[in-house]
Amino acid sequence: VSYAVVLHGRAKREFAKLSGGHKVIAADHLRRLARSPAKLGRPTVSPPFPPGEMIYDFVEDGGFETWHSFTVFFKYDAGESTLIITGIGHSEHPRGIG
Amino acid sequence: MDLPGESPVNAPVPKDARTDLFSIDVPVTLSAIVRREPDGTFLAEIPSIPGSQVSGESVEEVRAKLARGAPSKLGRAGVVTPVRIDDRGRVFRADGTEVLDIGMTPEELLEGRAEGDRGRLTPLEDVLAEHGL
Repeated sequence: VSYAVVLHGRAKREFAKLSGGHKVIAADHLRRLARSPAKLGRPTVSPPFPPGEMIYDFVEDGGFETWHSFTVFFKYDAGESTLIITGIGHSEHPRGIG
Repeated sequence: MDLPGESPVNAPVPKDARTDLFSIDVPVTLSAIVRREPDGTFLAEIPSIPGSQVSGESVEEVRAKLARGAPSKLGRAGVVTPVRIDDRGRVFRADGTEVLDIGMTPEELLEGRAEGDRGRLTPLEDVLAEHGL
């Protein structure tokens, strides 16, 4: 059983900032998250994170010079049938310095 | 009890060492699920380590990537209990260990949180359609 997924306006804006290839990757991961949020998500602690939210983070190979990290913030709706994506963070890292 | 000084991790413990605190290696074998994609590449994941997905051109490549990344991922599993997020979005534990990079500043993290959800939610498929996906 897969959860429905909706994006908060803020996450929608962050998704829009991703490059085309990263949009495809992020969409694939959001679908995976919808299938098993309890397995992929990790609870967070507030502060500093917003209360009641979970994190799903993943990394992607960016080729010889870079790699990319993504963090999806999400929570369950009141009926626990929908995942509300509240934020999508992305950063690019050069290889070799962590 | 005397604590060890600057001894390198995994160094053999001398018989006359004045300590009962030392490190040992614990070999661990983890199983990964590998999927061959339609384009011939491979996608692999260790189910017990959330976020461990990697892709590669061959099984050997994904195995090497998992072997490289799994130890740090293992250390990051579980509840995220950071105490500080710096202005580059790096998340740190109390001991200074970086555990995550959320790709946004603390201010950006909290931006829009007070807006509430009503009227601001868009189904994923609609968002993807907007971007031609």
